[in-house]
Amino acid sequence: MFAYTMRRLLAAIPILFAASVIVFSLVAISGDPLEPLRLRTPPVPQQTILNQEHRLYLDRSIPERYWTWLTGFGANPGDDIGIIRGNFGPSVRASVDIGTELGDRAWVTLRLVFVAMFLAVILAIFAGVISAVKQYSKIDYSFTFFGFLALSIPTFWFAILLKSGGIYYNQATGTSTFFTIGNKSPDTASFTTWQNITDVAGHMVLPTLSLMLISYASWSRYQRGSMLEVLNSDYVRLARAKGLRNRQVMVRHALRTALIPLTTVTALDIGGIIGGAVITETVYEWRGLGKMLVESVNGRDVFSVLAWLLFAGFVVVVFNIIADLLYAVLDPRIRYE
Amino acid sequence: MHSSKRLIGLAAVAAAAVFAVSACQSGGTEGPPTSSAGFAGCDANPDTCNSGPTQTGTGEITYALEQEFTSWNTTTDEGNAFAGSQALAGVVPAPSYFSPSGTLTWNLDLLVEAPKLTSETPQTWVYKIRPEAVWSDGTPITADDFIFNWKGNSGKPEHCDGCVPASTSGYELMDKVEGSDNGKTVTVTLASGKVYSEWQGLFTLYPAHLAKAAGNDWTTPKGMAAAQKWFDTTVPTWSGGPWKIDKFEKGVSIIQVKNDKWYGKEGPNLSKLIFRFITDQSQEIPALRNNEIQAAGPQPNPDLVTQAGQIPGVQYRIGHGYQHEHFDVNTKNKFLADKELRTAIFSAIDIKEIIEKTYGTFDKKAVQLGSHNFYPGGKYYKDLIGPTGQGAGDVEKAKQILTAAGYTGIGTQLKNKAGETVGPFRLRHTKGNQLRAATMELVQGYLKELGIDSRIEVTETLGATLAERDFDIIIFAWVGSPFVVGGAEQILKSDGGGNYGGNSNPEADALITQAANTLDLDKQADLLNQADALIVKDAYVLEITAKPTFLMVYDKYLNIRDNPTNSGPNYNNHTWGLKAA
Repeated sequence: MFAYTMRRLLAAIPILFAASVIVFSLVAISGDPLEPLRLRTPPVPQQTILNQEHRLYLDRSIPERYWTWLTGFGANPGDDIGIIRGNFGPSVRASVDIGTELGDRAWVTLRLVFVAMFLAVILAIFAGVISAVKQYSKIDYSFTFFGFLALSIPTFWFAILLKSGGIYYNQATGTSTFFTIGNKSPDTASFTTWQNITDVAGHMVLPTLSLMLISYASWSRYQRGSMLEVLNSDYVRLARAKGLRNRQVMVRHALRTALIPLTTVTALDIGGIIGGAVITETVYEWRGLGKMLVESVNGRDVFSVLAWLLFAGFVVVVFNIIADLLYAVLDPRIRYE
Repeated sequence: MHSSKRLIGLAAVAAAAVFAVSACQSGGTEGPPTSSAGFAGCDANPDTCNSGPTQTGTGEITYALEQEFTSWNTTTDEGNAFAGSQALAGVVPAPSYFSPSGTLTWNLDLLVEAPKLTSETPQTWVYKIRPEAVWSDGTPITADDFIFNWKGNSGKPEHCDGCVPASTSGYELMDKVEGSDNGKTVTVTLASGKVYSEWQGLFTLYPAHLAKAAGNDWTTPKGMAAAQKWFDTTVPTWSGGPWKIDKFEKGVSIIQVKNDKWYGKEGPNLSKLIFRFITDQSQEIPALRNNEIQAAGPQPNPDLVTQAGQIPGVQYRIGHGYQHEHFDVNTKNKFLADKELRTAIFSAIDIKEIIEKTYGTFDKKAVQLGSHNFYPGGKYYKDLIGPTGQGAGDVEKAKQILTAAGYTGIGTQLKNKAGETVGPFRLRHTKGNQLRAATMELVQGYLKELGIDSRIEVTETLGATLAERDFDIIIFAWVGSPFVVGGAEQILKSDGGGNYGGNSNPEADALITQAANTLDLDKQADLLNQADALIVKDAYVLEITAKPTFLMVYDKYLNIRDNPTNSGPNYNNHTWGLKAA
């Protein structure tokens, strides 16, 4: 299994490389990061602009810049650049360290994403299984209705509606239960442990629900379809015919197999969920990876965009490998050499 | 069975649509109010409105900042952000600021008296610092701090090797900055033959002694670069103003408390000042409604103004700032090089209609700007554009101008005297700016009435588009200030770096140069107005309006008011306070 994992990781390198070439080229030709400096009134000294061009490697051709970013060869003296050496290069904003920024933002986003994914998976499995087992019952129709409803509501709208709901709740109860901006209150140093817990929870509930919706709706439909297929399969009928208890049939034979498609979909969706976090983070003012991408693209910060891309790509690759490994856990027929 | 499922799906879609529509309607459909509510007195008394007795040393306020800044040094290029200057307004001292009326006001907490010019040749002036004025560690604020600021911003390699100052303007003309009287008297002398009429706005003080204590010998060029970088990257734990930063959480908040060594006569009246970063403007209203912030100063739009007015206890004001939206015409274009054609086009453009359909939808006080230099309500403002008929939307007059100039095909397919078809012209605006897009669509219609074809093209790189003169007519904004002569030199003179239209008027150039070398502000304004009258006749820049500013705040706070200058609403944040019972 270790060899398999390593092979998969190595296979991801050319994919990330190709993606980085495309993204680097697109961002590099999309605009001039020094435009605000050039537009300054009164104008900044020409030497200042030349210094900035040199610092950001804008005085080199795009292929040269890419090569330096990739390898670190030909770097300006004292610069930390060269992705194969673990350096992300200089940001357009001189005092920003891209690596530190990426780390800070990733912690914020991944916390949100993993909690949302975890809840979405649990709810999707629950709703999908119940719907399948109680096919065409009122509860199935209810889950189906809410599933389609969730699929139909744009995430952006849902986030705003939730936000409004939270505000109305606060006003109606005269409390500050739900917060609409940020992942914590500004001044929590004086808080007790309990106050800290409720503060974090109050900030997390609405964005988590918003982000969860993206995944829950589709995953619950997958789980329902998968479960139905398994329930109608010969081996489940055989299990029943053998007189196994219903719970044993459902959990041990049916659900375990029915989880395989959901595992695949969940792994594939991780990239989309991190992308979807752009909307949630914007609406709830979370300073995470989504906002970092938007800021970097707006600032034409090529090295920052590439750092983001590599991180997102890495996460997708890792989750795909995890999914592959989970197949072996869920399906005894699958073994990796 | 299938039909039931389809029905459920349709019902879900319908329910989602209802949600969406109801969310759309939450902003209200009656249109934004036309005037500010609790700030009504600000039109007559912009510097004193919303004032009154406050409680002292109690209460807190959370003010939203729309931009996350990355440098703490507002004198460097990277730190030269409005949000940063607002957050540090009560921490970093300066000898002067602009009050909301645009009047330059001396900081008499820091200075003993208003500095005076002691000589015009060479230009020399003297600051006297109050003996009580100290940094938060008790070290006196002295001439060293002025010298540090000068050398970091002069742009001269002998002062700093590697500095990227926000602006060298004024500092590059200084010959010496000297201290006397234990550093409490600062004498600034410009180089021989140099004049800087905006001297009153110079200097932003950072503690030179702390830069040195951190190991940066700022008397050497390399050391100065290191010192500037140190201030760029180090969160200030020091202060020279009423507030001191207590906690900073990157991208989240800055919490300020009273500077125990504050030497001023008043305040701070609140016990805590919190800046909260909200970089998406549309999220400020929910945050205000949920009382997570109590004040914000975003760029206004119709929805925002309407929604602010619907929050109980919130008062707001639309002000008018120093950014002016305008059209630039490329005078190097083969056809547009003809002044008569430009004049005709400017006459056909209806600025009133443009304003009504853009800024006027939420700012009923938006009017055509009649000057390239001054702003309505100001002492020196004269409407030089209105009387010429430019921007009047007078198509008949435009046609008469063209006929007199020998053009044919007017109203159908305009041809010049040589029989060449005029145009098509490229109308350009920045991508994503809906107000500018709407404006250019109207301009396209005005040109069509004269028989000129045009096409609208967006630009994502405004700087390059302007610098390369890659347009025929373009709309963008100048960021001005109550100091005007620098801007005039930049945008109106033939060799000005911002004269993107490529206009040349030697007579106006001479007047602007004369104005720049005049320290008498009345005479300077007169010269600038004379120059502007000539520039207006050239018809290469057509002003639209001064862009609005906005402030919304809960009405329990006093002394907070909109300040449309670059000093911003935080110019007096130490006097903000809760209404006295």
